[in-house]
Amino acid sequence: MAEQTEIEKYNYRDFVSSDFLPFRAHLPVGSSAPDCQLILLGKNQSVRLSDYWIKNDLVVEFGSLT
Amino acid sequence: MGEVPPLTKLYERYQPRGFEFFIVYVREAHPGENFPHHVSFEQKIAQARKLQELERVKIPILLDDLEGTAHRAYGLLPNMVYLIDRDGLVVYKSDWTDAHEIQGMCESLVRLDDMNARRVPIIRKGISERLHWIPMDPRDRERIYRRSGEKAIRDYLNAKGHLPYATDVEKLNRRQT
Repeated sequence: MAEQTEIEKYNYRDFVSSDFLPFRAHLPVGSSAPDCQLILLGKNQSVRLSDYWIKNDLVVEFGSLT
Repeated sequence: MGEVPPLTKLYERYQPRGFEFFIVYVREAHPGENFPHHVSFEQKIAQARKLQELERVKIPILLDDLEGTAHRAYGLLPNMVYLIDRDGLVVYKSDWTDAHEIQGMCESLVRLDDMNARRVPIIRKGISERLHWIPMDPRDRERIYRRSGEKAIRDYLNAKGHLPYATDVEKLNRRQT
């Protein structure tokens, strides 16, 4: 069986229970937020988070359909 | 995602007061027959559109790439929330969406703007930590798992030993029998 690629591991086929503990130490409050490139749905426009936080405080929720 | 309606209320209240809100659409947490794991970016776009449609999402949606670059950078949890200020600093983070807490933080930042406008001296930035207890309506959970398909329910049962939408009382009863 072929080895899973990083994309396949990340987008798991069967539910993998999340480990919540490492989150406590990850990106502590007061640290610089990572700037990431994302696509704005509906406009097919490439944006960076910093495009927004430079002007406004930013609330970001991560989620999916399921 | 079970927190769209309360987060939408916050979006409508605070967006006119200088806040931006986004949902970053990441990997499917509970892939099933109806909404499987992502294998292409086109599929990811289609499922994000379905999220927008089914949950009547008004908050703008940003798409992470297929590798999960943003998701990894922020901690990989399925329903985490961050509040980032205009200096690009993390001022709040939570491992699960809690609209009450987010509202409290938005109010803190509104107060900060007010203090700055009135030139109130600020000694330093303080840090507080707390545990919080997040309510979840089991009917909401059941709706989301059934939307994904029987596979998602079976996977959860295999991984956790109970149904995803069992309430704490049901879990306790099951343990006792």
